Amino acid sequence: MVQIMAQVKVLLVDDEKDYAVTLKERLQLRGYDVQAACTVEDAFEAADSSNPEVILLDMKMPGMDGADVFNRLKSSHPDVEIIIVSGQGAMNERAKEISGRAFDYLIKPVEIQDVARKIQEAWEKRSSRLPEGGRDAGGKDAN
Amino acid sequence: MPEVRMPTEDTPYGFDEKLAFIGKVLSVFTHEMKNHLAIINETAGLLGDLVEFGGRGGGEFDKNQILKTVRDVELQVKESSSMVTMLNRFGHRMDHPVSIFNVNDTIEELTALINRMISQRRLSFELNLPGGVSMVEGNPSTLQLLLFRIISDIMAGLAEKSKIALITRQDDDTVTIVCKPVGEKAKSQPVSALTQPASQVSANHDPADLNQRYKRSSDELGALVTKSSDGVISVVLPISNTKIGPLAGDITSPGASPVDKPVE
Repeated sequence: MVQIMAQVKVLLVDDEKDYAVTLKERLQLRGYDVQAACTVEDAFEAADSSNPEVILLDMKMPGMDGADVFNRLKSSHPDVEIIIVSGQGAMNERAKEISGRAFDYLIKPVEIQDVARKIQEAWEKRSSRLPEGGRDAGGKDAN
Repeated sequence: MPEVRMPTEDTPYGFDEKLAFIGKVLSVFTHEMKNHLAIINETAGLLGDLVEFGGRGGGEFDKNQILKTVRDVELQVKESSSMVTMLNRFGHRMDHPVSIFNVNDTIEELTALINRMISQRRLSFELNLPGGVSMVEGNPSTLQLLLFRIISDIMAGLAEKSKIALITRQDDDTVTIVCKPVGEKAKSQPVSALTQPASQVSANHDPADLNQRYKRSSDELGALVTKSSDGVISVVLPISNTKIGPLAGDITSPGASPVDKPVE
């Protein structure tokens, strides 16, 4: 029995469009179902419409503090696992406040293997606490 | 090689403020560069993926996509190099305590280096820097500090999606820099580490307060700073009377070092 990777639904939130588009493409090549949002408004809309299982969140979004974006996403989608991605070398105070509730914290530039592994671990954590893997089509088994 | 001045008992008043300014520029710049490197890293990674996944599927590589990706890396490297050039020029502005310099160049540098700070507030710059503006004499880094404080103050009073217009104008014996808020006023003053120390004082200060806020820098430059009732701040600088030959200052080739001519 071989466990094949479920098509994890990922929302990538980053104001650097080139970065978001490229990382999205690389994750899609690895089998993830990825949506990218480059503004906080698009992020909230995408989260509501696609109900992602894992969110990669840039802490420095224009117009709203990253911690506020995190809190709003978590309150409207309590089951989602959020991985914080930041270009800053160190966490600021507000990032520290929320880091305990985030799945993990990655510093740019990131290795694609690390991102993929974190997404997978985050998805597994989410699935383990939700009944039936937390969704209809997740975690398929194949011979 | 310019002498490096370290803080001592005789350190000039305002040294800390300049250090804080340089620190802010560096933190914004390094954040920007980390993003540039992250984009280059991902684009190069995508290139590898296209080869690996294309090859693994047994099909042919998508040559057009590979070529486009290579070009994206080249463009990103150029953009990053341009930012590094700006920081290099910014650093060299401090080589001499007094020099003859081009005001438009100093504005272009500063706005390029702090653009991320502005865009994080969903604001943007609107530059109108006509050619032919005379050179001025003074300390260009002091002018950049003064402009940084003015920009920070204007930024603190603006609502999202507004602009900060910077316009230079040549009069008979002066060069005027007009710093103008364009758009709606902010409903409340945002408190952000990005605008410190400038935002520690309200943007709606009275003229007396304004004079105090900018006095140190304007005195050093021999400049006059005024603010109109609609929030427009003007910096009037005397043009240099020092006779000089053609300066490399007008050379705008990428990678060129700053070209301020020191005044002995």
